[in-house]
Order: sequence, then C-alpha cells, then structure tokens
Amino acid sequence: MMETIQKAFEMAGGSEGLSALFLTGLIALWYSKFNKGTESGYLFWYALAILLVVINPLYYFVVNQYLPELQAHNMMLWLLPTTPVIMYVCVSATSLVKKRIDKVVFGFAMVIILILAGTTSYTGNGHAFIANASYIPQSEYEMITIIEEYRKENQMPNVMLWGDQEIMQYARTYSGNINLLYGKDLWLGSQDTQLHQIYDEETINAYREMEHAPFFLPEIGSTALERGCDILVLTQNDFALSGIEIPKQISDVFVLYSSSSKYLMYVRND
Amino acid sequence: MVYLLPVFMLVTAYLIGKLGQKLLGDYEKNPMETCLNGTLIVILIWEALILPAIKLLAPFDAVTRIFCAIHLMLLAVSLVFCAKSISTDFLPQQLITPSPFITACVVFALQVVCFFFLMPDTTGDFTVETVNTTLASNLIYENHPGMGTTFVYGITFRGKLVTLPLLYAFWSQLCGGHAAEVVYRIAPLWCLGLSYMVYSLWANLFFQKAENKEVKKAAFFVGIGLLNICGSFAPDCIFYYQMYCGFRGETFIYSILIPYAVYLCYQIYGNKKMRSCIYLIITILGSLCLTDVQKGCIPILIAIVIASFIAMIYKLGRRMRKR
Repeated sequence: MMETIQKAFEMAGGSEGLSALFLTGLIALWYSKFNKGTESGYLFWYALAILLVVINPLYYFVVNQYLPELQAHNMMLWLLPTTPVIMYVCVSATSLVKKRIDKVVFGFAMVIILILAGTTSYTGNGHAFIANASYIPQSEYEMITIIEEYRKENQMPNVMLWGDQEIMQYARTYSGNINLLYGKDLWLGSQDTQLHQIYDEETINAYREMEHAPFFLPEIGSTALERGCDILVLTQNDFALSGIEIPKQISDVFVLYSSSSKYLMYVRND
Repeated sequence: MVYLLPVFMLVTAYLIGKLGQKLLGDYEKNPMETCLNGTLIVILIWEALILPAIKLLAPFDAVTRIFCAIHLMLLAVSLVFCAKSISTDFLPQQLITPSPFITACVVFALQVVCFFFLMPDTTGDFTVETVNTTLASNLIYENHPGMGTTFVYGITFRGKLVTLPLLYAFWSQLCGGHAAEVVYRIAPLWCLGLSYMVYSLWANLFFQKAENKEVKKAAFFVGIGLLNICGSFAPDCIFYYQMYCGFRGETFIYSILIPYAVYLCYQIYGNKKMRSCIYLIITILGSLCLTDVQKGCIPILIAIVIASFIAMIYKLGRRMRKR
C-alpha cells in the first residue's frame, strides 16, 4: 500500500519535476499565507487538503474498490491545483525583486525551471506530425481513400470491410460508411466500459486468422463470404515475410482490385 | 467554415450566458464568466434535447434542427434584451491593456499550433468514430462506433448520458468539415480557451489588489501555457491530456469544471455571492454530460466538498483575526 502511495506521490502533478515545484510552491504559500488582502491562504489550505485526501490510504482503498475508472491514468492526482499553485508562487515572487534587470533575469530563470521541471520525466514516446486533415497515417490513408472511391463508384451506401488491424483502426475515423467486422475494442480489450459489445469466439478466431492472413487464406475467404464482407485488405509485407506468393483471388470470390504501398485490396466478384 | 466555429461558439456562449445572467438578475459577472456559464447552458440544453430523443428513437438531424432553432431564438432574445449590458462589457475602459498580454498570446498560439500539426492521443478513444457513426446512420447511440453495425448488447444508460461526442457531431454537421478536424483541432482549442477563461478568474482573485495587476495576470497566463507545453512530455498527467486529448470529456472536467467549481465555492462561502450556487449546480450537471460519472461527477463533488469546507474555515479565520 505504502509503495503505491509513494508511487502516486511521485507522479503528483505529472512529473517528478512538476511535483517538486508543486510542493515547493505549497511551502512558499505557507510562508505567505498570512499576507492580508490576498487569497493565497484559501489556495494554500485547498491545495493542502486535496493533497492529504489524494495520498490518503483510505481514499486509495475507496477508489480501488468502488471507483476503478478514476484509477486510470492517475486521474485522481489531477485534482491537485498544480497550475494555480506553481504559477501563483512564480508570479508573486517577482514582486520580491526590485530592479528591472533582476526581474528580467528572474523571469528567464523561472521559464527555464518550468521547462526543466516539465521535461524531467520525458518518456520518449515522441510526438508525430499529422499526415493529413483526417489525422490518419499516410499508408492507411492511401488505402482508405481507395476503398471510399470504390464505394462511391459502385454507389454502395455502406461497405463491409475486413482487414489488417491497422487499417481497421483508422477506417471508421475516415468515414462512417465503412462498416467493420469488429471494432478496435476487440484487440485493445474493454477500453470503454460503457460499450457493451461482446465478441463471440468466431469473431475472435477471425481476428486471429486475419493477423496471420497468408496462412489462412481459404478460411478468411469463407468467413468473409459468410459474414457478408465486401472488401478484404491484407498487408503486402505479411506475404513477403511468409514467402507466400500474393494471390490474385481469395476463395474464387474475392479478386485483387487495387494495391497501395503497404496494402492489397480484394473485392467481392459477384 | 470549420475555423469560424470557435468564433461562433464564443459568441453564442457569451450571448446565451448573458441571457441566463439577466434572468437571474446577476449583473456583476465579467465576460469570461459569462462565456463559461453560457457554454455550460448550451451543453445542458443539448443534453435536455438528446435524452428524450434517445428514448423516442428520434433521428439525429431532427434533434439538430430543434437545437439550431433554440440557438437562434436564444441569440435573438439575448440581443434584444441584453443589448445595453453587452455594450457596457465592451467599453474602452473595460478592455484590458493588450501590451502585457502579447507574450501570453504567443504562448497560447504555440499550443494551438500543436493541435493543428501534432497527432493527438487516440488510444482506445471512439470520439471521431462516434461522430462518423452518428452522422452516417442518423441514429443516436444505436450503432457500435467501432463497427458501424448494431450493438450486440447496446450501451449503458451512463454511457448514453455522455453527449459530448454528439455535440461534436452537431458541429461537424453544421460546418461540413471532416469530423477529425472538429474533434482534434476545434474541440481542444475550445477546451484550452475555456481553461484560460477559468484561470483568468483565479488570476483576478489572486491579483485584484496587487501592483501591476495586468502584468502579473499576463505572467500567470504565460506560465500556464509553459506548464501545458512542458508538462505534456509526461503521459498520465493533466498537461498531457490538455495538449493531446483536449477533445475528451475528462480534460474538460479537470481543466475547466473543477477549477471553476472551486472558484465558485470561494465566491459562495468567501464572498457570499449566493447566486453562484446556481452556476455551481449547472457545473455539476454539465459534468454528467461530458464524461462518465466516475471520471467527471465524483471528482467534481470531491473538489466541491473540500473547497467549500476550506472556504468556510478560511473566511471564519479571517473574521476572527480581524476581531
């Protein structure tokens, strides 16, 4: 229990640097809380009370037992008034400096501290630039636009798509007219507890087969036909890695219609 | 057209907020608070329309038509009855001196650039899918957003209470832009703007009696922007959510509604502005429309209980010290 609280406390404010700034700010607020005519006292007591609640073992027990969703992403720590505490102390501290040049130096020092504090726990996930206005990676965007053109050409109100996980992830971000055999909640686990979609064993098997598509082509063909799929999208690289030749047809029903730099698109021939 | 949406949202929120305040006989609010209250009223009106529509299985476009009509009616009434108080809000002496705020504006613009050019965090998120599903099927929460076909077991009532994705669908329909543009660009911008508005109220509270009040407020805003940008390197913190998940209900709760509720608690107990109770109730109700009860309403109630208690004790302590 203590370990969990300690971990949570380290995370308070988002990163170690920001938590350190938050706690320093709290101490500075304690020092200045009796300044008459300011509302710093209210901020101090509020921040302290929230901190004591959030790191309380009892609170942890209640959240774990009854409010599990609040546990996700350490969301309860967001209750801490990190921004007002840090910024109030930073801005108030400038009044302690009298000379103009000192104020400039102080301002720069504050900016550097904020930058360093925020980046101490950089996780290295990196931030990717967007490729287009639909916020879809370029290789997936290429294939989805081909699918959408095919739908429009054939005047189909909706198409049923089944394909590789990555294409399935972005297809419905692009258009509401592309229906899927299963949603991304299947492979991500139950992300949204409010969505009551329960996948049967057959669908889960279909997902597993699609992830190893070159080895299950006849099964994929028959399942797609059975489930009323209009389009199949497979990854070119899967065939290259498995050493299996790219087929022109799948189960005599799906024929190769188009390809992009990463994907192969098969459509129903009937 | 999509990029005019923030202006539309700001103007409607202000005018509807103004009308709400007029009905309550509250003439003391500054434009920032008016916008915040107006936004919450808009969200509640939307919720009030959606819930019966779900029960009656009404098509989505019927709801949007009624909502547009209500919007237009409220705007017209507000312009007619609140014209005088609107003009007093924008008197030259009421406007802030722009020069100290230039740096704050630059930092704000930097954050907006991130929304336009960096990929948001969409892990496990169905917002754009929900918007696309609603617009394509013209049904409300009847189809699975990830599949587009009918749910096997449907969605819970708690899930249906959250109408924020449907509000995005309305905006998307109104502007005709791609849903991703509305959700990943405009919504975070809206959230960031509102969070600045809330913190401007805090700044007014902190620096009301300070020397160089405007400069201090500007420095406060610059700091907020720097914290958002620099704090966004660590996932699982509110700054990351502000920058990369600004379209999610949780971000609205923690960066807007909770600070606003705490501010209102101080106004109620500290400054005895009892009308703020109504705004506090609106805030709590608004939290139900934005995200799940566990992530939205409960944290807000925790914050309100603590803030109320502290505000009472703080006021009592000040009074005792004066004696």
